[in-house]
Amino acid sequence: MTAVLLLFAAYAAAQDSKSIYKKYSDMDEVNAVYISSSMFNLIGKLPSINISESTDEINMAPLVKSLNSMFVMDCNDERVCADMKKDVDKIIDKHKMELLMEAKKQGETVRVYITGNEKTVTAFILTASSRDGFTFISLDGNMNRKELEKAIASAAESL
Amino acid sequence: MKRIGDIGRIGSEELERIASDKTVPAPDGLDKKIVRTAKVLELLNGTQTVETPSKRNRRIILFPSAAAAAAVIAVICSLSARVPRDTYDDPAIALASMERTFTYISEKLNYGAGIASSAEPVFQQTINVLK
Repeated sequence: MTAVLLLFAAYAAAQDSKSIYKKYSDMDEVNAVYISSSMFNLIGKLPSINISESTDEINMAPLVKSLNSMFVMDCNDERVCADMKKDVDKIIDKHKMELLMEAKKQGETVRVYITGNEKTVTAFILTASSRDGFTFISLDGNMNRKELEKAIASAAESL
Repeated sequence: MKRIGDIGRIGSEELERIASDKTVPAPDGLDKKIVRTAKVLELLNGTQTVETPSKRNRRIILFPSAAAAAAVIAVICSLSARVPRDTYDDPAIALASMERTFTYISEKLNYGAGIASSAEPVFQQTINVLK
């Protein structure tokens, strides 16, 4: 029952991210990337993704299989950024997402929100806002929390 | 001319004879009266459907409901048609973009971890003072 509720919450959050993407992605002031579940299926079939499992590269293989969608938006117009931030905050409030981290440095505020339980993350949102712009990243799916942490950690190693 | 009371007193044989007498002309508009009377009888017997006010009301309610349903379906169809398209057609480029995104995420998470670790000596000092 909990799993069903989590999946439903993830679906609802994904729909909201999709609506934000639809609203802003065509604007000139916004850079946007959307990767669908079909594309994740194709990525999972790439030979290179399986090679990275045995190397020091970022290991995306386990995550790719569990992701449904990825939205990335970046804007640099003050008015558009303010509107987008307002819409993202609405999703976070609506789905009562848990604030995982908040960091403020040199005028930039980074917040990471998640929905899920100890084992699974169904929705992941990162926002980074500063005077220069606003970035919104949304990942939806049925991600294993450890795999997600591992992917982020291996990405940190590659920095 | 016979009156209704007189007709009542006439026997059935006599009535049959008068009816079969083709020299006696039928009154004007009798055929229409017969058709109308037959319709009234049908209505009274319930053989013909009558549009009652409730049925009419139902139709009045149903029509806008059907129109609203059609409008909702049209909106849903137009929304589903606006499903966003994948930014990349090539899965290799999509994977590269995904890796870049994860690098960005970890950069930002390290940001938080860096602030926390830089604050650690202050926490430790506070703990020592409290001890």
